[in-house]
Amino acid sequence: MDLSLIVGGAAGRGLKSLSYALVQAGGKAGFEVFSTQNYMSRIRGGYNFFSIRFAEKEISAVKEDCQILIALDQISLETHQANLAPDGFIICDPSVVKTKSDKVLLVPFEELALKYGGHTLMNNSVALGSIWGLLDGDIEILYKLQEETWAKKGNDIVEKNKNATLAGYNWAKEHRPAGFELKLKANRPKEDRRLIIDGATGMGMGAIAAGCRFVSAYPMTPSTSLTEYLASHQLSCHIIVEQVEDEIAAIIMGIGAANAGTRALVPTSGGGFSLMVEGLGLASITETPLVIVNMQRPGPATGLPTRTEQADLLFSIYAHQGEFPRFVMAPYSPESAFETMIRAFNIADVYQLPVIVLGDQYLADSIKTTPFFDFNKITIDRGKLLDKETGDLLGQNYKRHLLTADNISPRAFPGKSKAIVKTAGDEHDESGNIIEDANTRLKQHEKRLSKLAALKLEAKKPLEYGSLDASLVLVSWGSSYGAVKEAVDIINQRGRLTKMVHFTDLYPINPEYIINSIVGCKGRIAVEGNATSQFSKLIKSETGIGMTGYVLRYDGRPLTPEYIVARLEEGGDIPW
Amino acid sequence: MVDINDYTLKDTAWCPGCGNFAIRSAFRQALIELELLPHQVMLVSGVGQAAKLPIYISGNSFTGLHGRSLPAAQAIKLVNPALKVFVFGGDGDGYAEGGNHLLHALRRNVDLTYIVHDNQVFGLTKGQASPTSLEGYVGGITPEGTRMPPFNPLPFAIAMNTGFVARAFSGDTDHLVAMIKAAARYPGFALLDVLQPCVSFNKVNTYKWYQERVYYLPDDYDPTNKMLAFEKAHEFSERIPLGIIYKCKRPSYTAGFDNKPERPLVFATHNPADFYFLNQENQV
Repeated sequence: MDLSLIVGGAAGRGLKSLSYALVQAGGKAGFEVFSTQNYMSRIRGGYNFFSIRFAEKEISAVKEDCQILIALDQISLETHQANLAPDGFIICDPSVVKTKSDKVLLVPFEELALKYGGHTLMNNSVALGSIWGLLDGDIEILYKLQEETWAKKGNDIVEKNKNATLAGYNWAKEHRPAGFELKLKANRPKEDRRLIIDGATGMGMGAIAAGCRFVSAYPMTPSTSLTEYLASHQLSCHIIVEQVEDEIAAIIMGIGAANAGTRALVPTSGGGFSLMVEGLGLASITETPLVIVNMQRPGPATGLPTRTEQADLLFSIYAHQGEFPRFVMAPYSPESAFETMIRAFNIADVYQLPVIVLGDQYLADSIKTTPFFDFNKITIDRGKLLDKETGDLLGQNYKRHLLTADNISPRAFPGKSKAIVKTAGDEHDESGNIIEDANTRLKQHEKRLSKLAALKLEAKKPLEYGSLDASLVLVSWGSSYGAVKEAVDIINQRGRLTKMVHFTDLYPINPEYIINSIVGCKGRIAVEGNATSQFSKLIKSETGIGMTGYVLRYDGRPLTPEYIVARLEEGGDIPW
Repeated sequence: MVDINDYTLKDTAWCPGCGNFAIRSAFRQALIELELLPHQVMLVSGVGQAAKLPIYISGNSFTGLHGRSLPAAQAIKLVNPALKVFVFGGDGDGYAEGGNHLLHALRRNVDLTYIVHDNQVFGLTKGQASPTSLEGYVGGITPEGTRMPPFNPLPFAIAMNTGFVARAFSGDTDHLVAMIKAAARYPGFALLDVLQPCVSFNKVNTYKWYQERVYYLPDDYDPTNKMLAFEKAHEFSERIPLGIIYKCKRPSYTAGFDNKPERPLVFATHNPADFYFLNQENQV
C-alpha cells in the first residue's frame, strides 16, 4: 500500500492537529509515514496544507498526487482538486465546502461534532474518524491516540473526542462512496518500534546525544523548532538554552561557552547566519569548536520566511573575510540529522574549528517514521584534551595554540587545571599573545589551513542508489535525498539506466569521491534547490568536472520526484 | 597567599603615560587582595587598546571581537560559574559597537565585573570621536566637531537597575583598587566606568581636565537611593563624582547554578546512553 493524503485549510483552525493526529495514527497502524507541511508566514488564516503518505516500505518523500484530499475550506478544494489521483476521493463538510465532484465523501463535521462530541471543536476528531472509516481502519488505534492526546484534559474530554471519532468513522462506513477501493493494510511487527519525528527534532536529539550543553539563539523561522526542542529539554538534559539579543550575541556566546569547555550549538537561518559571519572567523582564529545550524529559507533578506531553499551552500563555504577551514554538512532525513549532529560535534572538537550544518525548512518540518536511535553506539570524540596533571604542571607555560606535528594543539579549559588558557581574535603566537611578525603569522595561519587536507579525508563518501550501469547520474545534496531517490526509480522504470549520487558532507570536498562516482556517466544532472546550481559550481572548481544538465528549483517549494522527472523530460534548467 | 609574583606583566603596545598602565596595576593589586590566582580568573575583552589588557597580564583570557566581549564573558560564566570573570574594553568597544550587548547584559545580570576604560576618544584608530566624546569634539571623521551629545553610561545602567554602578579615575590608583574589589565582590553585573586620559589623541579631556573636576562621594552618600544616584550620575561638567554611585540587590542570573549537581557544565560527564528516554518521548 502506498497512500497519499492532502489536508488543506486555514492555519489556527485545527489543520495542524488533524494532520499530526493522522500522522500518528498511520504510525500506530504500522505504516512508514512521511509528511511535509506547507504554510504561510502568518499566525492565523492563509492557505496551508499537509501532505501525508503511508507506505509499507521506507519512504522519504511525499507525492504531488493524492488518493484522499481532506478539504477543510473551499480554497483547499480548489487548489488541490488537480492533485487528486484517478482513484482518489475528496472528504469535506458540505456546509463549508461546495463541490460538484461525484468522487466525494460528504461528512457534516461540525454537525456530528456537536451532536456526539458536545462541541463543534470536536470536528477534527470527526474528520479523523471519517478518514479512518473510509479506509476501513482499526478504530481502536484512534481511540488509543485520543487517550494519549487528551489524557491531561481529563476523562470527559477523552470520551467526547472518542465519541466524535466514532461518529465520523461510522458515517464514512455508512456513506462509503462507490468506487473507493483502498483499505488500510500494514504488517510491520509490533516489536519493530518507530519514532515519529521531524528533521529539527532529529537534529535536537542528535545534539543532546552528542553532549551539547549550551545553545544560544535568536528566534528565526525555520530554525526555531530546533531551538525550542532543545529549550524544552533544559532541565531533563542539563542544557543551557539562552535566548539572546541578536545572532551576533548568539554566536559569540556559543564561542565563549565552547572556549570554556562545553559543546555549544548555534541554530539559526540564513539571515541570522549573515549576522554570525563575524563570529565565524573568530571561532576559526581562536580554534574554537562550534556547531552552527543554518536552516535555510529562500533569500535574500527576509525572502520567503516559511519556505524552503538550498541556496546558502557557497555562502557557508566562503562566509567571512580572510581564509580558514571549516566543515560544511547537510543531512537529509531525521535519522541523518541525528547522525550528522553527532559527527558535527566530533569533527568540531577534533579539528577545533566551526562546523556548519545546513538544514532547510523542508528538512526541519518534514515528519517521518524512524527506527529508534541507538544511544549505546554513539562515539564521543572530544579531540586532544590536556589532562589535569599536565595542566597543573604547565601552569603559565601552557600554549593554547602550540605547534604540533598534526597541527592540533591539546586543549585545556580555563579553570579546570592550573594551565593558563589565553587566546585572541588577533593573530597570535602559540601562547595566545598578539603578534605582528610575519614568521609567527605564517606558522599559525598554515597551522589552521593545514586542517583542510585532514577534513577532506574526514568527509564521507556520497550515497549511491540506482542502476550500477547507469549512463545518467543525478547529483544532489541535503534534504532532496528522498525526492531524488524516487525520481531515479521512476526514470529506471521508464527504461533509462539512472543512479543518484547524494552528498551529505559538502566541504571541503574530496575530489576522488566525485571522480569515482560520476565521471563514468555520460549524462550528469545536478538536482538542487537553488537557481545557480551552487554544488555543481563547487564540484567544477574542485575537480574540473562539469554537469551536462540541471534541475533547479527556487520557487520556495521542495523538490519532489514528479517535479524532477518532469523538468528532466522538458530538457532541464539552465543555471542563472 | 597570592602575591605580586603570581602576576607577571608583559610588554605593551600602549603609549607612554597612558592611563591603561594605572588600570592594569590597580587590577593586579585588586586580584592579589581578592586572593585570586591566575587560573581562577577569566579576563575577557574585545578590540581596542583597553581590550589588550588581558593579553598583558597573567590569567586565563579571551580577547575576541570589537564590541563583543560581553556575550563571550556571560557564556563563560554560565557554563563555568567557578571562574571569576572580568571584562575590559574602551568606550568605543562597549558603548558603540557593543551597545546592544551591554543593554541586554544589564538585563541578564550575570555575575561579572565590567571595567570600561573611558577616555572619550578612539585611540587605536587614532583620534576619532567616541560615544562619550563631548559635543563639539573635533575628531578625524568629525572635523567640524561631533554634533551628538555624549552617551552617559551611568544613568543608563541605573535605569536598567544594574546592581553595582561606579566610577573611578586612573589618576588615583588606590581608589581604583578599592572600586575594582568592590565591583568584583558584588554578586551580579558590576559596571565600573574608569576615566582614563588618552595622552596621544584626546587634547581636551586631559589629566588636568579630570583632576580639576573629580571629587569623591562623601561617606554618608547613600548609593541605594536611586533618585539621588541619577542626580550624581548626571554630573559630568564642572564636577565629576567618583565612587559607588548606585547599588541595589538583585539575584544574579547564575545564582543557584553552583548548587546543582550537574554544574559547572564544563565539568559534567556525558554518557549518551543516559538519553535513551528521548526515543520514548517520540515513540509512536
